Amino acid sequence: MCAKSYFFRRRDQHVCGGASAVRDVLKQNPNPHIRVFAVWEPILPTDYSSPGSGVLARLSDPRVEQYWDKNHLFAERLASRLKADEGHPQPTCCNRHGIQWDEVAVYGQEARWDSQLPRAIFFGWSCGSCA
Amino acid sequence: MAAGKTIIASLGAMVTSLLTLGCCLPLTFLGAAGLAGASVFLSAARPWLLGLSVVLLVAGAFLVYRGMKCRARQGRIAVVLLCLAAVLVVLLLYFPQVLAGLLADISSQQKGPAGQPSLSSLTSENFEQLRTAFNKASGDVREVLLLSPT
Repeated sequence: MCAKSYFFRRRDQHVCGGASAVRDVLKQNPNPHIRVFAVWEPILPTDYSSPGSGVLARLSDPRVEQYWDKNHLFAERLASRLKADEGHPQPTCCNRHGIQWDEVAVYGQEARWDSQLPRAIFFGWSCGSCA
Repeated sequence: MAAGKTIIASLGAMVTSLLTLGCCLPLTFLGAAGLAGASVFLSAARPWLLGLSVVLLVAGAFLVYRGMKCRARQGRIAVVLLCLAAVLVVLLLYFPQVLAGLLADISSQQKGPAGQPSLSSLTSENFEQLRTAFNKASGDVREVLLLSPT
């Protein structure tokens, strides 16, 4: 089973809607071999502070770790990885002032983050195809 | 009589605007009351609640204005409450995330759901911790979400 269907088991379901959608997918998929790193970053004009407990509670699954990335450090690394590797799958969603957001990047079981981010298997909120 | 109506409108505006934070407040008592779904409902109803609070605020202001026009004495409490309601509604309209975050975190030391590590603020100095956590989970499918709090 490829990694993306491993996570998005229900291929008939189009997964959209950010954290709440991921929460629902995790609820439907109890597989313990899934780890989610939620990186919150200030993007919209209303993002004045780190997310409060209520926002964090949208991703209450114990397989999730949550980070507040005020300076877009992860997005920067992702951008430089995408720039350096033309064959890398491209993000499907939102870019604001050069900062990627509202996006999910899925990495396979063998992926290792050394000096550079590893290659993502795919980006986006939709299920896509494994074939 | 008009002062009473103004007070009711002001309190209504305050309550409805505060209910918009229902998603973000530590409403554990709702769970105890078997109303855990209320938080989800309040979150969905947020635009309507904000709209209602603005309507109530306008109604309160109209009552005060009408009272002034008729040279009726305004109850001090009614006017103060109306001002407070106006400040609260404006804050909730323009800075919802700040207020929600503050209110939610006043009551909790640990920022993050139970069973998870606390929310970690990434800086250039500690960014390594994300990489370490990522590599520690090799063997698992890993997903990195990039999200905006609002």
